Amino acid sequence: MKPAADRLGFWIAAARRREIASLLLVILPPMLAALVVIWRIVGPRAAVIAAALSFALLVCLLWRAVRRDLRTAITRRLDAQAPQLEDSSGLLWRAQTEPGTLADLQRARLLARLDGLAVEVRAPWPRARMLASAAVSLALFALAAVWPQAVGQREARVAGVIAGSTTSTRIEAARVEIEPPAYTKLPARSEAALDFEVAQDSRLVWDLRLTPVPGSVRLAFHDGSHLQLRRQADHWQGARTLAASSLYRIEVEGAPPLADELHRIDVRADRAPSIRVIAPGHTLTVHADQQKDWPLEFAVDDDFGIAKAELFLTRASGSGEAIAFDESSLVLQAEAGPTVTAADAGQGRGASLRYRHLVDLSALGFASDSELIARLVVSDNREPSPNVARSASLILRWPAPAATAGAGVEGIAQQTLPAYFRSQRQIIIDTQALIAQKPDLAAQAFLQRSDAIGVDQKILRLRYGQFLGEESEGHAEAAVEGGQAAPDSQLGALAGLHGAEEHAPAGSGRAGAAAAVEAEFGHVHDIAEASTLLDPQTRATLKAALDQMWQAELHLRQGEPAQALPFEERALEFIKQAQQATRIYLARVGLELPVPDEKRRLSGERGDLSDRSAVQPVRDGGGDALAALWRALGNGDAPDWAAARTALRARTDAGPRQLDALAALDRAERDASCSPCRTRLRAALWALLPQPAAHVLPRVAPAAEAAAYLDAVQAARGERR
Amino acid sequence: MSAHGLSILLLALAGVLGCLRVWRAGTAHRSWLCALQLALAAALYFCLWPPSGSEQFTQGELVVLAPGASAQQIAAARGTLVALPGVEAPRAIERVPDLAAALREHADAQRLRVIGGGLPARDLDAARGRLVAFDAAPLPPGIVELDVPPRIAAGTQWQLQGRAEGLAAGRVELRDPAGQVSAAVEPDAQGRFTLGATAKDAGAAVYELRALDAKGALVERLDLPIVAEAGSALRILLLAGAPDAQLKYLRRWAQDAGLVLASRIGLSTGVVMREGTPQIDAATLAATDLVVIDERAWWTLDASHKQALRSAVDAGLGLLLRVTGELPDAVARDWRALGFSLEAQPAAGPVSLDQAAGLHDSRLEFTPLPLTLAGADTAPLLRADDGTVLAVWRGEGRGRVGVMRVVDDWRLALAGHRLAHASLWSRIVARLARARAAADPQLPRSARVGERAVICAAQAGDVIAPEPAGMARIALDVSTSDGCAGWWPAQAGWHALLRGSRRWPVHVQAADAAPALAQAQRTRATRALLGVAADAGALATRAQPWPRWPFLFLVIGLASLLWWLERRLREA
Repeated sequence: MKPAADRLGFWIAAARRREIASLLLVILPPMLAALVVIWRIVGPRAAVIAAALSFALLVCLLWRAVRRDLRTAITRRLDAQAPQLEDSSGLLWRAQTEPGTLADLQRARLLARLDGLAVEVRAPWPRARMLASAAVSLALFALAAVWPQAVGQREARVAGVIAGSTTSTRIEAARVEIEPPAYTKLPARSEAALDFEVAQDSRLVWDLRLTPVPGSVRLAFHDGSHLQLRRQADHWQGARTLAASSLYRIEVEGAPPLADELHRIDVRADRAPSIRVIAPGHTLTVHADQQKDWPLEFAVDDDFGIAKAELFLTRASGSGEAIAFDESSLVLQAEAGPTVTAADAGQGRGASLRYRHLVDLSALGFASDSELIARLVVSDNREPSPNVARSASLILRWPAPAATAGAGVEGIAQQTLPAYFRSQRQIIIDTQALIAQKPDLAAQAFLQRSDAIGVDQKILRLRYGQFLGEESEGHAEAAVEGGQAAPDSQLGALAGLHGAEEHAPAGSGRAGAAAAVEAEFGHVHDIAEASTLLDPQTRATLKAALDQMWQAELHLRQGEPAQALPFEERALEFIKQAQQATRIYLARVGLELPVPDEKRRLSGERGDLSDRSAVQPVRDGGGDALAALWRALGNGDAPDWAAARTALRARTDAGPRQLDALAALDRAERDASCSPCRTRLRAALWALLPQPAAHVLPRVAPAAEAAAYLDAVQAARGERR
Repeated sequence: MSAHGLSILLLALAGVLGCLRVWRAGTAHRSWLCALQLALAAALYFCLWPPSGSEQFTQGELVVLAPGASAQQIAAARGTLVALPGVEAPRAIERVPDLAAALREHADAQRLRVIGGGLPARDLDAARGRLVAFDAAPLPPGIVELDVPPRIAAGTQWQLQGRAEGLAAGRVELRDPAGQVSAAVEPDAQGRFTLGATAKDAGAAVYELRALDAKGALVERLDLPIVAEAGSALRILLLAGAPDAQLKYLRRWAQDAGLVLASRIGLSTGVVMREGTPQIDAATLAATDLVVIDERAWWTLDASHKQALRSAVDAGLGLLLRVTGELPDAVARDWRALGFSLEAQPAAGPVSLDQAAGLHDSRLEFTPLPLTLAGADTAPLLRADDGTVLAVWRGEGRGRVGVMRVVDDWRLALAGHRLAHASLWSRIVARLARARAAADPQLPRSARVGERAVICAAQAGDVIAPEPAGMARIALDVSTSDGCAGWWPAQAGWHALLRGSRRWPVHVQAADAAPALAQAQRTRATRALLGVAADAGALATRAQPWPRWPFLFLVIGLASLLWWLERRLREA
């Protein structure tokens, strides 16, 4: 019994092994091929997911194969192959039969006959299926082989542009050494990509390895310049210093062309330093009382460090036309304290510095009526020519003189203006007003007001007399007539000095030669520093004016303003003459009118006058090539690429837009069938298009019916009239 | 025999047989069992042929659920309901492929009640004259109205008006074809907004309109296809008594815009500044499109000149009268004869032209001359922001005559708004100048994939070509009397109508583009059909079959009861 049972077990195991082997042979090859295809077409991630799913499926199928009951199949095969089993092999599987029955007997006979029975219980190989499976697998592998490239790998732009065929040159390796200018203190770096951003004036060294090895390689830049690369072993190298953003393309000779790709380098320009004034808060500062110094504080930022900060101080002193300028400059040192240095993580050593300076006003000679102007000029490290930035001009100004008179005179001087500012014209007006009011005024009041005007007239006379070095009797009446001769005016000082001299006791002599002589033999009529030097003619005119003022004052004081008026007017006339004599005329520049022909002027002769042409100059329609390109792209016409490219290259004012448009133009030109490329180029051109003058769309001409209607309306109108 | 009669017969037979069987069996309570048998037969009958109750309904009225109907509207709908395609309605509601089919199905329906976002264009004709009520669904957030000028001249400023729904404190942006924001504005309380942009060279370009909500999130974006048209080289004759700034800037613009300018500007007695051939005779005027003249130049015209001008205007010439100062009596008389009032009026303050010039708060002020303009049949040509009329025009024969009382519009150009100045004059000249443009084909302004668009004034031989080229062209069949052809675009994007060497671009929207705008258009179109006298409609009663399910339950219940009873009786 035992060996027979073993035999049965062996048969089952063999059949199961065959089952599993067939399954694997049929399923596995196409499954693997499908995975490869998915990896090639969709990408590695999808392939991994598909592999997991396939594995699960495989496990399921194997499990089914393992669990399958093979006894029926084996029975069938035994019955077919071994006639000696008498179609009863099904009995072999019966574990227990009732002893003595026919089945038991037959089973025992069968078991006995098993020994030496040579039968094939394994299922035959599924040849048709295996053949089909092989064919499918081969087809799938072929698809995977000819599919150009997986998507995921297409993103690797440069390192390995995998082209399935040898019809184009490939870039095996590319490296660009970027050496920023030394002053930026940026570290040199190396890029594996061909598109990148660099600091201005960086030196770039390209190092390319291409297969197949071409005869020569050069970089063609968008501005039309080329950089020929030198061959070193199988590397191609070349260097260039880049000052502006560029587009370039790698061109090869003696080899199939490269995959057509335009590369872009954006150049980050070195910014000029930016200056922020922290103190003072306003550009105009008014000098405070007792102010001894003027604190200035600036914050300066730059992207690559600041070389020098110079403070320019300009002192303007004097007034009117006699202004003197006094310039000085000093180099400021940045504050050692909280100097902020920007992080230099690949972005360069940006710097933010603070400058503080205390201007010593007295050392500069800052005094009343002077103005101090401060300006910071900062230059950065840029080479060869640094960027220079200037701050706003900060002005320190002496306060405007107070308009009120000195203390102690408020009760007396009621005029809103200091008396000596009352002009001769004002006196005339006052006088005329007084004459007009005469009927209404009491005699006493009239006399009083006339006298007041007389006082004004006298003050004015003294004011002008001062220019002539005239003796002033201000001191004599100072006590009586008020503080117009107060010692804070030049007039008062003069009068005081004069009076002191005149009434000084003889022989009380002071030391000093000139003063002593004067004190002995005469008295000063003029202070040398304050003397007004007038030419004789002006002097005479002024003198005449003073005479008239005398007369006017005389009549005013007597209460006869009507008689004073002619003198006043004559005085005004003389003063005007004197003023004009001292006026300065400056030659004007700019407008030079043709000298009129005096002979013809206003003569009424119009003989050789003729019509003029009103033809206007034609405005230059710049950017026509770009507009033409834009129109051609919109209409689907063939554009004039060369003209448009030339026009675009000239648009350096457009900044990055120019490069965008150039890149788009390049793409659209190279691929004429690419409709999105043309759309993109049109969009990139939009901002660069010139703005045409507004066109006019005339109305549509009326059709015959409409014209007839309009004519009928007009005819009806005509009849109504 | 009808199915009804047959079922009655069979059920009666079955009931009788069942009764006999029970009776013969002679069990207790057999009368009860017999009654139950009969009741079962009756219940089965009513399950097959449910009895009808009476229902009140509006006679001859069909309630149509249109796309866009909200769930609440559908739930609340009563009456004879049909649902058009695109409505997510319960299965119980009858589906119809279109309204015409629904009307054939419900031949008695003389009145329609529409619920939802409005009828699609194909159903509007079927609904004409039958629509009594329209229960519009709320519009989705986004841009629901858009009014773009029908024709935009190259180089001019243009403005679009629109209305946005559900954009409280949001923003509407207009982006130029390069993607830069050219105008952005916050819609007012009603959601209305006005945006301006500048057309460049003649050609088609796609602007973009974006609706953003209060947080700046994009609510909707839609393409705005704009076709700027190249203008004509109009011939303008300029006659002026003296040079002034208005003429200077007007002439500068006219030349830059490619207009053919002839001018005669007086400098002194007998001395003029001349450009081109400024003659006033019938031949010159017939070739001229617009004459611009001021009162001083008019004063020097003799009767024959004036007569030539009058008859040239009747034949189509445009004439613009510039008032630059006080009108001499003779001139005022002549100009009044042209239909303008021209009476002195008290001087008003300065006015601003921001709206007319498409500017925002330019703070520029213009002083019109104190003169009334309007005549009996004049229309305004230029209005200030406060509504003051600065220029008017009226038709005279085939031509047009305008009069203008503002002379300092040049300050727009001087203040840097050269474009606004040019656009202003472009509009004035276009309004007045001789009508000489050839009639272009009338292209649909908002064609949409799968919807009927109409092209009018087409000629035989015109074809529609999609862009990029290479797709199938469609030849237009213009055999109809009005020269119109229908077109069902199959593809979104630019197309062009080609006629010989000329081409007119036309843009087709995708079927799902601008859903809010589309629904708003449907709503408006449906609302426009309302207008049938909304009589209440005769209320009628009609038979409405009861639901079958209670009878079905009754049948099952009775059958189960009978089965149980008979089984118990047999066991007993």
